[in-house]
Amino acid sequence: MRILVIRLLVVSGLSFILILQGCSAAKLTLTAQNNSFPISFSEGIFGYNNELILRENYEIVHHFKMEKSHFTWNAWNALQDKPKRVDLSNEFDELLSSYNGEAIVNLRIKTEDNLGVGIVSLLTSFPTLGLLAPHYLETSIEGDVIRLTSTMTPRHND
Amino acid sequence: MKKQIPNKIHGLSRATIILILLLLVGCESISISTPDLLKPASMSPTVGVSPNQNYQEVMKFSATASPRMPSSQKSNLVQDQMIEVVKGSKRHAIQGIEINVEGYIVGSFFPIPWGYNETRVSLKGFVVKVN
Repeated sequence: MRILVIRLLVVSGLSFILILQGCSAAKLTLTAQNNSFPISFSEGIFGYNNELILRENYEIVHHFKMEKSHFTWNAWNALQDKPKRVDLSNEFDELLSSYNGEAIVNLRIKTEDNLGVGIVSLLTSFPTLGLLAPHYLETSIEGDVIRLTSTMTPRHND
Repeated sequence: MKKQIPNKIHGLSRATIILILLLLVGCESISISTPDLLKPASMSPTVGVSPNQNYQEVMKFSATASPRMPSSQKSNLVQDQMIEVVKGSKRHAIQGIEINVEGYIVGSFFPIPWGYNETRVSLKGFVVKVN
Protein backbone atom coordinates (compact mmCIF):
# COMPACT_ATOMS: atom_id res chain seq x y z
CA MET A 1 0.00 0.00 0.00
CA ARG A 2 2.81 2.38 0.95
CA ILE A 3 4.67 1.67 -2.29
CA LEU A 4 1.50 2.34 -4.28
CA VAL A 5 1.07 5.73 -2.59
CA ILE A 6 4.72 6.65 -3.30
CA ARG A 7 4.33 5.64 -6.96
CA LEU A 8 1.15 7.69 -7.25
CA LEU A 9 2.91 10.70 -5.73
CA VAL A 10 5.84 10.32 -8.14
CA VAL A 11 3.54 9.99 -11.16
CA SER A 12 1.46 13.00 -10.05
CA GLY A 13 4.63 15.04 -9.46
CA LEU A 14 5.99 14.20 -12.90
CA SER A 15 2.64 14.96 -14.52
CA PHE A 16 2.49 18.30 -12.70
CA ILE A 17 5.98 19.20 -13.97
CA LEU A 18 5.00 18.25 -17.53
CA ILE A 19 1.80 20.32 -17.31
CA LEU A 20 3.82 23.27 -15.95
CA GLN A 21 6.13 23.02 -18.93
CA GLY A 22 3.19 22.89 -21.30
CA CYS A 23 2.04 26.27 -19.96
CA SER A 24 5.51 27.74 -19.98
CA ALA A 25 6.65 30.43 -22.41
CA ALA A 26 9.00 33.39 -22.24
CA LYS A 27 7.08 36.42 -23.46
CA LEU A 28 8.34 39.79 -24.61
CA THR A 29 6.05 42.59 -25.79
CA LEU A 30 7.45 45.58 -27.67
CA THR A 31 5.32 48.72 -27.92
CA ALA A 32 5.65 52.36 -28.93
CA GLN A 33 2.31 53.85 -27.91
CA ASN A 34 3.57 57.27 -26.83
CA ASN A 35 5.08 58.55 -30.07
CA SER A 36 3.36 61.22 -32.11
CA PHE A 37 4.98 60.31 -35.44
CA PRO A 38 4.55 57.24 -37.69
CA ILE A 39 6.75 54.17 -37.03
CA SER A 40 5.74 52.07 -40.01
CA PHE A 41 6.54 48.56 -41.19
CA SER A 42 5.82 49.69 -44.72
CA GLU A 43 7.61 52.29 -46.84
CA GLY A 44 4.50 54.50 -46.87
CA ILE A 45 3.04 57.07 -44.50
CA PHE A 46 0.22 59.58 -44.90
CA GLY A 47 1.20 63.16 -45.68
CA TYR A 48 -0.17 66.49 -44.52
CA ASN A 49 -3.18 66.20 -46.83
CA ASN A 50 -3.74 62.48 -46.16
CA GLU A 51 -1.98 61.56 -49.39
CA LEU A 52 0.21 58.45 -49.43
CA ILE A 53 3.89 59.39 -49.30
CA LEU A 54 6.27 56.80 -50.72
CA ARG A 55 10.04 56.43 -51.17
CA GLU A 56 10.40 59.07 -53.90
CA ASN A 57 9.00 61.79 -51.64
CA TYR A 58 11.39 61.46 -48.73
CA GLU A 59 15.05 60.98 -47.99
CA ILE A 60 16.43 58.36 -45.62
CA VAL A 61 18.62 60.21 -43.13
CA HIS A 62 19.59 57.29 -40.90
CA HIS A 63 19.34 53.50 -40.79
CA PHE A 64 19.14 52.12 -37.25
CA LYS A 65 19.24 48.74 -35.57
CA MET A 66 18.41 48.07 -31.91
CA GLU A 67 18.35 44.83 -29.96
CA LYS A 68 16.11 43.80 -27.11
CA SER A 69 16.49 40.58 -25.15
CA HIS A 70 14.71 38.72 -22.39
CA PHE A 71 16.22 35.90 -20.33
CA THR A 72 14.24 33.67 -18.02
CA TRP A 73 13.94 30.08 -16.77
CA ASN A 74 11.25 27.57 -17.71
CA ALA A 75 9.98 27.09 -14.14
CA TRP A 76 9.63 30.85 -13.64
CA ASN A 77 7.72 31.22 -16.92
CA ALA A 78 5.23 28.62 -15.80
CA LEU A 79 4.45 30.58 -12.64
CA GLN A 80 3.92 33.96 -14.25
CA ASP A 81 1.83 34.62 -17.30
CA LYS A 82 2.46 38.32 -17.95
CA PRO A 83 4.91 39.22 -20.72
CA LYS A 84 7.86 41.51 -20.13
CA ARG A 85 6.76 44.81 -21.69
CA VAL A 86 9.35 47.07 -23.29
CA ASP A 87 8.25 50.53 -24.41
CA LEU A 88 10.46 51.78 -27.23
CA SER A 89 8.89 55.26 -27.33
CA ASN A 90 11.84 57.09 -25.74
CA GLU A 91 14.37 55.39 -28.02
CA PHE A 92 12.34 56.26 -31.12
CA ASP A 93 11.96 59.86 -29.85
CA GLU A 94 15.73 60.17 -29.41
CA LEU A 95 16.38 58.74 -32.87
CA LEU A 96 14.02 61.19 -34.50
CA SER A 97 15.35 64.23 -32.68
CA SER A 98 19.01 63.24 -33.25
CA TYR A 99 18.55 63.08 -37.01
CA ASN A 100 15.87 65.75 -37.30
CA GLY A 101 13.56 63.19 -38.90
CA GLU A 102 9.81 63.19 -39.35
CA ALA A 103 8.95 59.49 -39.30
CA ILE A 104 10.35 55.96 -39.17
CA VAL A 105 9.65 53.52 -42.00
CA ASN A 106 10.74 50.09 -43.30
CA LEU A 107 10.59 48.54 -39.84
CA ARG A 108 11.87 44.96 -39.72
CA ILE A 109 11.88 42.51 -36.81
CA LYS A 110 14.14 39.51 -36.46
CA THR A 111 14.22 37.00 -33.62
CA GLU A 112 17.11 34.66 -33.05
CA ASP A 113 17.96 31.86 -30.71
CA ASN A 114 21.25 31.83 -28.91
CA LEU A 115 23.52 28.81 -29.31
CA GLY A 116 25.18 29.44 -25.91
CA VAL A 117 21.80 29.23 -24.21
CA GLY A 118 21.10 26.09 -26.22
CA ILE A 119 24.18 24.46 -24.74
CA VAL A 120 23.16 25.48 -21.19
CA SER A 121 19.74 24.05 -21.98
CA LEU A 122 21.40 20.81 -23.04
CA LEU A 123 23.17 20.58 -19.67
CA THR A 124 20.40 21.71 -17.31
CA SER A 125 17.10 20.59 -18.84
CA PHE A 126 17.36 16.84 -18.73
CA PRO A 127 18.56 16.45 -15.10
CA THR A 128 15.89 18.90 -13.88
CA LEU A 129 13.09 17.50 -16.05
CA GLY A 130 13.03 20.71 -18.04
CA LEU A 131 12.35 23.03 -15.10
CA LEU A 132 15.74 24.70 -15.41
CA ALA A 133 15.65 25.06 -19.15
CA PRO A 134 16.68 28.62 -20.01
CA HIS A 135 14.71 30.84 -22.36
CA TYR A 136 16.50 33.64 -24.16
CA LEU A 137 14.60 35.80 -26.60
CA GLU A 138 16.76 38.04 -28.73
CA THR A 139 14.90 40.44 -30.98
CA SER A 140 16.41 42.99 -33.32
CA ILE A 141 14.48 45.92 -34.76
CA GLU A 142 15.73 47.74 -37.84
CA GLY A 143 14.33 50.73 -39.67
CA ASP A 144 14.96 54.03 -41.45
CA VAL A 145 14.56 57.54 -40.09
CA ILE A 146 13.19 59.74 -42.88
CA ARG A 147 12.70 63.41 -43.67
CA LEU A 148 10.24 64.63 -46.27
CA THR A 149 11.77 66.31 -49.29
CA SER A 150 11.20 70.05 -49.59
CA THR A 151 8.25 69.78 -51.97
CA MET A 152 6.32 67.72 -49.43
CA THR A 153 7.16 69.77 -46.35
CA PRO A 154 4.24 72.02 -45.30
CA ARG A 155 4.54 75.74 -44.84
CA HIS A 156 3.20 76.00 -41.32
CA ASN A 157 2.42 79.73 -41.56
CA ASP A 158 0.11 79.36 -44.59
CA MET B 1 32.26 -5.61 -17.79
CA LYS B 2 31.74 -1.89 -18.38
CA LYS B 3 29.58 -1.14 -21.42
CA GLN B 4 31.30 1.13 -23.94
CA ILE B 5 29.54 3.74 -26.03
CA PRO B 6 30.12 2.80 -29.69
CA ASN B 7 32.25 5.16 -31.78
CA LYS B 8 29.66 5.13 -34.55
CA ILE B 9 25.89 5.09 -34.25
CA HIS B 10 24.02 4.35 -37.46
CA GLY B 11 27.17 5.24 -39.36
CA LEU B 12 27.50 8.68 -37.77
CA SER B 13 30.42 9.54 -35.53
CA ARG B 14 29.78 10.83 -32.00
CA ALA B 15 31.11 14.26 -32.94
CA THR B 16 28.69 14.51 -35.89
CA ILE B 17 25.75 13.50 -33.70
CA ILE B 18 26.66 16.12 -31.05
CA LEU B 19 26.98 18.79 -33.77
CA ILE B 20 23.57 17.90 -35.23
CA LEU B 21 21.99 18.05 -31.76
CA LEU B 22 23.55 21.45 -31.03
CA LEU B 23 22.28 22.78 -34.35
CA LEU B 24 18.80 21.50 -33.51
CA VAL B 25 18.94 23.53 -30.29
CA GLY B 26 20.10 26.79 -31.79
CA CYS B 27 18.82 27.25 -35.32
CA GLU B 28 15.53 29.08 -34.79
CA SER B 29 14.98 32.44 -36.47
CA ILE B 30 12.00 34.50 -37.60
CA SER B 31 12.25 37.64 -39.68
CA ILE B 32 9.30 39.91 -40.43
CA SER B 33 9.40 42.70 -42.97
CA THR B 34 6.76 44.06 -45.33
CA PRO B 35 8.45 45.32 -48.53
CA ASP B 36 5.26 44.97 -50.64
CA LEU B 37 2.98 46.84 -48.25
CA LEU B 38 2.57 50.50 -49.21
CA LYS B 39 0.02 51.83 -46.72
CA PRO B 40 1.19 52.75 -43.22
CA ALA B 41 1.36 50.02 -40.56
CA SER B 42 2.60 51.85 -37.52
CA MET B 43 3.68 50.87 -34.01
CA SER B 44 2.65 54.32 -32.77
CA PRO B 45 -0.94 55.64 -32.69
CA THR B 46 0.00 57.89 -35.63
CA VAL B 47 0.06 56.87 -39.30
CA GLY B 48 0.78 60.24 -40.88
CA VAL B 49 2.89 63.33 -40.38
CA SER B 50 -0.01 65.74 -39.96
CA PRO B 51 -0.90 66.52 -36.34
CA ASN B 52 -4.52 67.11 -37.35
CA GLN B 53 -5.38 63.62 -38.56
CA ASN B 54 -8.43 61.89 -37.03
CA TYR B 55 -8.82 58.14 -37.02
CA GLN B 56 -11.92 56.01 -37.14
CA GLU B 57 -11.37 52.43 -35.91
CA VAL B 58 -12.48 49.85 -38.47
CA MET B 59 -11.42 46.55 -36.88
CA LYS B 60 -8.75 44.86 -34.80
CA PHE B 61 -5.78 43.32 -36.54
CA SER B 62 -3.57 40.40 -35.58
CA ALA B 63 -1.16 38.13 -37.44
CA THR B 64 1.21 35.42 -36.23
CA ALA B 65 4.37 33.89 -37.68
CA SER B 66 5.40 30.57 -36.20
CA PRO B 67 8.47 28.48 -36.99
CA ARG B 68 6.39 25.54 -38.17
CA MET B 69 5.96 27.40 -41.44
CA PRO B 70 8.59 27.31 -44.16
CA SER B 71 11.02 30.20 -43.75
CA SER B 72 9.75 32.29 -46.68
CA GLN B 73 6.13 32.01 -45.55
CA LYS B 74 6.66 33.39 -42.05
CA SER B 75 7.14 36.96 -43.17
CA ASN B 76 4.88 36.71 -46.22
CA LEU B 77 1.93 35.54 -44.14
CA VAL B 78 2.11 38.61 -41.90
CA GLN B 79 2.58 40.91 -44.87
CA ASP B 80 -0.31 39.32 -46.82
CA GLN B 81 -2.63 39.75 -43.83
CA MET B 82 -1.63 43.40 -43.49
CA ILE B 83 -2.26 44.03 -47.21
CA GLU B 84 -5.63 42.27 -46.94
CA VAL B 85 -6.95 44.34 -44.02
CA VAL B 86 -6.01 47.74 -45.50
CA LYS B 87 -7.20 47.14 -49.06
CA GLY B 88 -10.77 48.36 -48.34
CA SER B 89 -10.05 52.05 -48.82
CA LYS B 90 -7.27 54.38 -49.92
CA ARG B 91 -7.27 55.82 -46.40
CA HIS B 92 -7.04 52.59 -44.46
CA ALA B 93 -3.95 51.97 -42.34
CA ILE B 94 -2.85 50.01 -39.27
CA GLN B 95 -1.94 51.80 -36.06
CA GLY B 96 -0.78 50.89 -32.54
CA ILE B 97 0.96 47.66 -33.49
CA GLU B 98 2.28 45.66 -30.53
CA ILE B 99 4.95 43.06 -31.21
CA ASN B 100 4.65 39.93 -29.08
CA VAL B 101 7.56 37.50 -29.08
CA GLU B 102 7.01 34.16 -27.32
CA GLY B 103 9.59 31.43 -26.80
CA TYR B 104 8.47 27.91 -25.96
CA ILE B 105 10.42 24.79 -25.22
CA VAL B 106 8.61 22.09 -27.11
CA GLY B 107 8.91 18.37 -26.35
CA SER B 108 11.28 18.46 -23.42
CA PHE B 109 11.47 14.66 -23.53
CA PHE B 110 10.57 13.82 -27.10
CA PRO B 111 11.88 13.69 -29.76
CA ILE B 112 15.17 14.74 -28.16
CA PRO B 113 15.78 14.69 -24.42
CA TRP B 114 15.99 18.45 -23.79
CA GLY B 115 13.40 19.61 -26.28
CA TYR B 116 13.91 22.41 -28.76
CA ASN B 117 13.09 26.08 -28.66
CA GLU B 118 10.23 27.46 -30.68
CA THR B 119 9.73 31.18 -31.16
CA ARG B 120 6.48 32.74 -32.25
CA VAL B 121 6.03 36.37 -33.28
CA SER B 122 2.61 37.98 -33.39
CA LEU B 123 1.56 41.51 -34.26
CA LYS B 124 -1.60 43.14 -32.89
CA GLY B 125 -3.04 46.52 -33.78
CA PHE B 126 -6.05 48.37 -35.15
CA VAL B 127 -7.15 48.99 -38.71
CA VAL B 128 -8.21 52.63 -38.96
CA LYS B 129 -9.62 54.99 -41.56
CA VAL B 130 -7.93 58.38 -41.71
CA ASN B 131 -10.21 61.42 -41.95
